[in-house]
Amino acid sequence: MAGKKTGLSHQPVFRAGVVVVIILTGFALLRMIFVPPTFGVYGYYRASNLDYWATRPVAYAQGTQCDTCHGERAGFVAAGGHAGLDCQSCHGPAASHPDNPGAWQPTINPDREFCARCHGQVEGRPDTVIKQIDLDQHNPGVSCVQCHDPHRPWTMLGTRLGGSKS
Amino acid sequence: MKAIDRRTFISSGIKVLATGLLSSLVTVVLPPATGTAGGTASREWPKLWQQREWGFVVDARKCIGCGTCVWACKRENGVPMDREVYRTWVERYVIGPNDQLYIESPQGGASFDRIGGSVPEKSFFVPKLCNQCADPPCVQVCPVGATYRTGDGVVLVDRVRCVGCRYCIQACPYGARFLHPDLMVADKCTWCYHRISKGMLPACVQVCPVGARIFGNLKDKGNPVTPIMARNQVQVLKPDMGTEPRVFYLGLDKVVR
Amino acid sequence: MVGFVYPNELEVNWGLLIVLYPYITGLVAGAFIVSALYHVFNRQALKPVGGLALLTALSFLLVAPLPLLLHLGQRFRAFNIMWTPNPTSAMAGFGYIYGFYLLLVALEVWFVFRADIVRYAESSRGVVRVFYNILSLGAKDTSDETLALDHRITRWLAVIGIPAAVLLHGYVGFIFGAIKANPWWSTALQPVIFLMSAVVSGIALLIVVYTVTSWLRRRPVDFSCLMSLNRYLWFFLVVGVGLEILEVIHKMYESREEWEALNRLLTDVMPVSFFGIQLGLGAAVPLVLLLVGRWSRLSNLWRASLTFVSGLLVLVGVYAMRFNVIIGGQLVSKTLAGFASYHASFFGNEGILQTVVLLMVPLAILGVLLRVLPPWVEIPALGERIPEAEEEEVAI
Repeated sequence: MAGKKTGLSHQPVFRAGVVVVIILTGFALLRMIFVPPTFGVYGYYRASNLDYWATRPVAYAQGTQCDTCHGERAGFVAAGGHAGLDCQSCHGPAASHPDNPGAWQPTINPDREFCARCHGQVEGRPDTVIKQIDLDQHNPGVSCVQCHDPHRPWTMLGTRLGGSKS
Repeated sequence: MKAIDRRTFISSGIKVLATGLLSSLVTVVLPPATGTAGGTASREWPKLWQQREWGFVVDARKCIGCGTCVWACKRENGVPMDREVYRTWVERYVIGPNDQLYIESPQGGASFDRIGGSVPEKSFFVPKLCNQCADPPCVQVCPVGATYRTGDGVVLVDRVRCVGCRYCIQACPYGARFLHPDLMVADKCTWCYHRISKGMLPACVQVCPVGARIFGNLKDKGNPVTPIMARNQVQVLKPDMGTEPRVFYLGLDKVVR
Repeated sequence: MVGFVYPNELEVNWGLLIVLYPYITGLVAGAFIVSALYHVFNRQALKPVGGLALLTALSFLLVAPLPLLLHLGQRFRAFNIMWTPNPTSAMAGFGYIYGFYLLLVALEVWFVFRADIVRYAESSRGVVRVFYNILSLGAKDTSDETLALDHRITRWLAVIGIPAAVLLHGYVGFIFGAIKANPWWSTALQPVIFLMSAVVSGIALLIVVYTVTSWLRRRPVDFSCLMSLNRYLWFFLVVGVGLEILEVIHKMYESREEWEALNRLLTDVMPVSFFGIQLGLGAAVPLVLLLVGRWSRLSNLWRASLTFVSGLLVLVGVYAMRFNVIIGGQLVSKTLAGFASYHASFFGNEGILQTVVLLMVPLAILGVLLRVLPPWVEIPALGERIPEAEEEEVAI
C-alpha cells in the first residue's frame, strides 16, 4: 500500500462528513431566507395572498349601483317582464362607468341573436323558465327592439311610438 | 498508545459530525414555523371568517344555457376569452330514445347550437364551477402550499407561489382547474372572492337572468341559500370522491358527470 | 377529442417531459439496484458492471430533475418545493427525496472511487492533478485500515441506497397512483408497478451500456456477467409485466363505472402503444429472446446479441409503459364519457426532439464520468481486495 495512515482531519469519513454538514447547513440557512414572510400565519400558505384576492378590481358593478343615476329606468324595468334582471346581464360589465360616466358608456348589441341567447328556442332550454321564440318563424329579419322595448319587453314599442324612445 | 488516541479521536470526531448532521437535518426537515412568521396580513381574516360561510346552490332545472355567466366570469376574472379555459362553464345533456347520451359544452357553453346531437327524449343544462370542496384534493396535492381553503370556504391559488406543476389540475375530479395561459399558474373559480369580500355577489350569480345560481352567507339571517337547503333535496357532484363539494345542486339528473 | 370531456381538459397538461421524469428516475433506481446487488449482496458475476452501474445511476440522476424543471409554468420558482414543501402533497417529497438520494449516490461514488482518485492525483500533473486533488477532498489516506473503512461505508451506503431507490421510484408511482380523480392512475399497485419497471429498465440499460462501452473499448464482454443480467432482467420483467396485466385484469373483473372508459382507452385509443409496444415488443418479445439467449447450444455471440437486443426492446417497452400511464391517464376524461387527444410536436418545449436531447444528456455525462473515474475491472483499483470474478452464476 502506497498510502500511510493520516490524522482524523484527513480521514475520508471526516472530509465527506464536513462536506455533507456544509451542504445541509447551507440549505437550512437558505430556507430561512426564502420562506415568505406571512407563510403559515393562518395555515400552510402565504396569508398575505388573501389580501391579493380580496382587493382585485371588479368588472361588474354592484347590481343596485345603476339605480343611483338611472333610477327612473330601473323602476320602469322593475314593473315588466325583465324585472329582477341585472342591467349588466345585457349591457355587460360596467364598473368603470360610474367613476367617469362621460368617458365610457356601456354599449349593447341590438341583433336578434343577442336576444335569442336567452329567448331563442334551443334544445334543453326549459320553456317553463323563459319565454322563447323560433327565430325562423317569429318575424324573421326584423330587429327585436323594433317592436319590443328591451327594458320592458311586453310593452310593445308600437304603442309608444309617438312617445319618447329614450 | 497512538492507536488508542487515534481511535478516541475518530470516535469523538464522528460524534461531532453526527451532531452537526443531526441538527442540520432537523432544521431541514422541520416545517416553517406557523403563527410566528414576521408580518401579518392587513386584515384580521379569522375574525371576518367567524361571520362568514359562503354557500352556493345551482338550480339545474332553471338553467337556460344562455352562457351569460360564462362570458361574465371570463370578463370579471381576466380569463382569456379566446382560450379553452373556464372558471365556470355550462354543459348540455341530450338523452335520446334508447338512452343514447350526448353531452357537450361548446366554448364552455358560452353559446349552444339550437339542436343537440340526437332526437331528444330529455335534455337539460348543468352549470359547473369549482365546488370549493370541504376536503379539496387540489389543496392536498399542491407541493408548495400555493393553494389553500379559506376560513369562509373558498379555495384560492397564490399566484406568486404557484410553480405551475399542474398536479392540482390532475387531482381535481371536476375539471375545475386549468393553467392560466398568460400567467402560467393554476387558476380556478374563486366564487369571486374579491366581490364577495366586498359584499357583492359573484359575477355569474349576479348576471344569471333566471336565478339558476343562488349565493349567500350562511351565517347571515335572510340569506337566500339557507331556506333552499332547508326545503329541498340537494345533491352534489361525484359524492363518492369523498371531496365534500360545497356547490349544491337542485334537479341533478343521474347521467350528470 | 371523442365524446365529452370537461372544457378544461382539452389540453393534456402533462406531456412528454413528465413521461421522461419517471422513465429517467426509473433508470436511476434500476441501475443503483444492480450496483447494490454487487456491493451489498456480493453477486460476483456482476462485478464488471458494479462500478459502471453506479456511474450510470449518477449520470441519469443528475438529469432527473431537468424534465420537471422544464415542464414548470414558473421555472424560477422551482425551489419553492424546497422552501415550503406541503406535508400533505405526494409531490412535495420530490425535492427532499431527490436531494437525499443524490447525496447518497455521490457519497457512494466517492467512497468507491476514492482510492482511484488518490492514485490518479498522484500519477498526474498540472490541471489534472489539481482536479483530482480537489475531487479527493484532500483525503489522501490509502492505508489498509482506511480502505477497509471505505469499503464498509460503501457497503452501508448501498444498504441505505436500496430502500432509498425503492422510495425514490415507488414514490413516483405513488404520485400517480394516489390521484383518485384519475381512474387509470389510481391504484395501490402503481408504486410497485413503477418500481418493478424501474428495476427492469435499469438492468436493460446496463446491458446496453455495458455492451456498447465494451465494444467501443474493443474489449470482450464478460459473458457470465451478461448472462447474469439476462437472468435478472427476465425475472423482474416477468414480475413487472405480471403486475401490469394484473392491474388491468383486476379493473376489468371489477367492472366499475370507469372500466368502460378504460377498456376503450386500451382497445380503441392506444392499442398499438399498449398491446403492441408495452406488452408485445417491450415485454413478450424480450421475454422469449432472453430465454433463447440462455440456450447454451447457441454461440456466445448469438446469446450476447439476443440479450443486447432484448435490453433495447425493454428500454423501449418501459418508455411506452410510462407514456401509456401518463398520457393515457390524461386521455381518459374525468367525465368518463370521452377522450382527449394528444399530439406531440417535434420542436419546442414538450417536443420529441427535446426528449431525445434530454435522453442524450445523461449518456454524455456518463461518457465524461467514464473518463474521469474509469470503472473497468481489468484495472483493479489500489487496495481492491475483492477476489477476481468467480464463474458463479446466480440462479433464479
